[in-house]
Amino acid sequence: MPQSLAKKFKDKQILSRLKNKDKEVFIKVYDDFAGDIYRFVYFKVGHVEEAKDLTSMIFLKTWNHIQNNSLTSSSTLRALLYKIARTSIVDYYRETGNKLEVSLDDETHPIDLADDKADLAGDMDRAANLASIRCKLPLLKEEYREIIVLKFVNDLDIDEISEVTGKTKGNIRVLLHRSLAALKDLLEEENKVQ
Amino acid sequence: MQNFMTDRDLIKKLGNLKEIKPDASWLKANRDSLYTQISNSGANNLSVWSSFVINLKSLLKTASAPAVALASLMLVLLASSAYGHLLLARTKPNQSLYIARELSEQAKLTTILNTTERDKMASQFATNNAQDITAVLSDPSFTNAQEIAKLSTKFNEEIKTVQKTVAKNEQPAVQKVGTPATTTANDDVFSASASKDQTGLSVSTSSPVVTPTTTSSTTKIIEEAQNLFNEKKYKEAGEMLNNLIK
Repeated sequence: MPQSLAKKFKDKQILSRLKNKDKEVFIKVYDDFAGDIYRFVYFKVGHVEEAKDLTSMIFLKTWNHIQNNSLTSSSTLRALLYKIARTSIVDYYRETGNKLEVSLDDETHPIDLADDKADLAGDMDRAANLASIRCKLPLLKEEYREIIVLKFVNDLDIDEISEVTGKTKGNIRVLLHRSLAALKDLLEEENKVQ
Repeated sequence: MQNFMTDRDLIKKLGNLKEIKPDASWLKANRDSLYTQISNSGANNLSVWSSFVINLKSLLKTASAPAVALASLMLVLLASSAYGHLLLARTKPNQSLYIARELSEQAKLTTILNTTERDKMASQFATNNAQDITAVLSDPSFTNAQEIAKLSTKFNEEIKTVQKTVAKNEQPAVQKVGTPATTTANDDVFSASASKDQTGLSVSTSSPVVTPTTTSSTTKIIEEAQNLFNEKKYKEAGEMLNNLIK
């Protein structure tokens, strides 16, 4: 309880500071969330360069949104960022006329693994896991993939996911269960073939 | 090769995807670009005063959550009932806040379940109040006749409360006169003779002996204080009550 109150206080403080055009706080928000938002976008669009462009655009849109709106629609800053990210991706594809087709096998832009440790066996294991999941994630339904990334990769809680997606908490729980089962089936199918 | 996979295994594997991050150089370049863009849109650095106001507002907004507000209210009520009488102890009977002190004392008394303790505290409060009344009345600048009459009545009420408590305490003291003089308050009496074969060893615990001299001297002090008050020797009455507190 006290921890969640402290978090709530911190969030309100940051939102109020942003509303008062505090650029230093906004840059801190960027430092804290840029990686997560990039990852979320990347799993949505599947291309590194597009993910980078969209991430830049999302942060700028968030700044403008905070200056022009009352912010009563979002309970947390994180939820607001993801909501803006979602709508920005949809708008981007609508404007460019491209179809949203996800493939995470981006050979021209290999993914950076932010781990400098020289643990070769561990690296290989992680790389194998990463490769198998990267292959299977695009095969999932869009809403399954989104919810998996939000919950298990970017660590949002059920309340936040509910706010970002506009679905009820019960619905989110069911979706989480189904999406995990679907991904598990895909991975086990792959193992059987091997 | 893995034959089956638990949810935990899968979640652990998904956790590895956290390692996907944009390259640091792009992050930094984008940060600088963003900083320039928002600086051009009228962003600024907040003053200390603005920061203070924002922090205060955020705190109030956080505390306005129903559960937090209710918990704060309960805490204030509990604290005021438990310690309010200490905070209001300096208010004098002729001041408007005195009623708050009386209410606080009543609240404090209702929180005490033990009747002996409650009587003791009620007597203590009454003595303090009576002493405060004498302090106010002994001030030569206090000449309001109506107020003096009111405070005199109040003094008599407080003295009656103290007398009632003393009388209550005297009663058991008379009954315990038969207790052997050698026993002390903490002595336990072990008796091996009483119905030993049926109930085993019986143990009786003696209650503290209340010495009649203490209560009678208390009564004396109260009476003397009352007489001095009636003779309008307020200061002396107050000093006499001070002996009671000691």
